[in-house]
Amino acid sequence: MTGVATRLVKVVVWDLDGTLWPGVALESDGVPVPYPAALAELDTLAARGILVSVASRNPTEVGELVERSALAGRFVAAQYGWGRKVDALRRIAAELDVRLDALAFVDDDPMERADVERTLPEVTVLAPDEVADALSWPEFDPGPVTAAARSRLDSYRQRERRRLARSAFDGSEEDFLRWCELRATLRRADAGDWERLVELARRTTQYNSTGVEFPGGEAVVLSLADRFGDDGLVGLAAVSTPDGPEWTVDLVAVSCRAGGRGAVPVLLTGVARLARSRGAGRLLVPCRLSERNVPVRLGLKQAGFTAAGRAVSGDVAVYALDLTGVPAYPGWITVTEQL
Amino acid sequence: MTVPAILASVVGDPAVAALPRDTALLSGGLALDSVTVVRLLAEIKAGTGVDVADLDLDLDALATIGTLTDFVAANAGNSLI
Repeated sequence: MTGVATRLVKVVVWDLDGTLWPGVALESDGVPVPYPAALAELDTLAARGILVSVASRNPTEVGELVERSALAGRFVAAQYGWGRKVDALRRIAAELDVRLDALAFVDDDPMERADVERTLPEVTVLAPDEVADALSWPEFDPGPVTAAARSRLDSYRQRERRRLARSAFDGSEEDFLRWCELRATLRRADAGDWERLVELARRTTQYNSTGVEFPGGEAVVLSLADRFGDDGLVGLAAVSTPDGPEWTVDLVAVSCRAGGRGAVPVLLTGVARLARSRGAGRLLVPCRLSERNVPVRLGLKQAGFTAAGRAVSGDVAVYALDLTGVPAYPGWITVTEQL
Repeated sequence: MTVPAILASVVGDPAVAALPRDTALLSGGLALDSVTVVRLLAEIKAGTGVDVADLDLDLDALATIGTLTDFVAANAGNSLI
C-alpha cells in the first residue's frame, strides 16, 4: 500500500453538555459559556479545514442556545434528540457524504464513547481531554490547507441548501442539475494550483482512481459552480504520457461534493477531447479495485470507458476509451473549456 | 442474507426488499448516493463473500436489483476458493 495517503478525519462530532461547556445548558440560566480549551480546539480544526458537527441528547431548543453562544455558526449537520449517538453519527456521515472512518467523536460520557467504539469501530473516539493530543496525530493533519479547504464550511452550507432544494424538486436528477445551472470550467493546471492538487489527491477516496499522491506533471483541473454558489477547484486528472498515441491518466481525484454532481464524466470527457486534439487514439485510466472507490468507476462508465484488462498485480484494472469521435459533454451542464 | 435484504438494511427502509427486480439502483430508480453504494458493496462482501467491486470490472451488476442479485448468486461459490 505504498503511496496511499493516511486515513484523514474530515468531521469532528462533539457532544455539548459537559464536553463543550460545563453542566446542562437547558437546566441553567442564560447562554452557555464554552470551555476556552474547546474553543481553541474548534479554531484549530477550522483552520485545518476540518468540519465540526454536534450529536447531543437534547431537544432542538439547545440548538438555539448554541447559536446565541460563542459557538454560533460553527457546526454543520447538527443532530439533536434522544436517539443513540451511533445513529446521529450515521446521519452526519450521510448528510456530509463522508465515510464513517472520516469521523471523530468527542464525548465526556464513557458510556456514549463505549457504545460508539463497539458499534462503529471505524470512528475515532475521544474523551474531551484527549483532543489536544489528537490534534498532533497524522489523521488530523490534512497537509497544506488551502483557501478552498478553509471555505469548506461555506461549501457544505451550500450543499445543505442544495439538498433541501433537491428534495422539493419534482423531476429527474439531470433536470435538477439543469435547474441548478450547473457549470464547469476545465483548464490545464499551473504552478499556483499545486497545494490544492496535493490536498485533493490526499483527501479524496470515493472519487479517487489510484490513491497515489499527486504525481505532478501535466494535469487537467475542473472547477464547478451552480446557482447555490461556487465550489472552486474540485477535480484533477493527472496525465503522465501526454504525447503518445495512448494517454494514461495516473490519478483522477474529485471532491465528493462535486463527484455527486457528475464531475467525473465531465472531467474525463475534457481530458479525452484534449488527448484527441493532440493526436491520441486511446485514453487509459488505471483504477484500484475496491468498493471504496466504486463511485469513480461509475463516473468512468458514464463517460463511456470500459475495462480493458486487469493489471498483473490483480487489484488494479485499466479502463479505456477509444477516441474515434470527439467525445461530447453531457447535456445537463455548461462547460467552459480552456484547454 | 439475500441482496434485497442487504439493500433494504443499508437504505434503512424494509419496503425496499420487496421492490421489483427491474428497479434501477442508480439514476432513474433508487438513485442511491455514492456513500450508500460503497456501503452496499461492503455489506454484500461481508454477508455473502462476493466482492462485486473486484469481480465486476465494468460494474454492470449495479444496473438493477435483479442484475445485482443474479451476479452475487452466480459468484457466491467461486469467491471462497
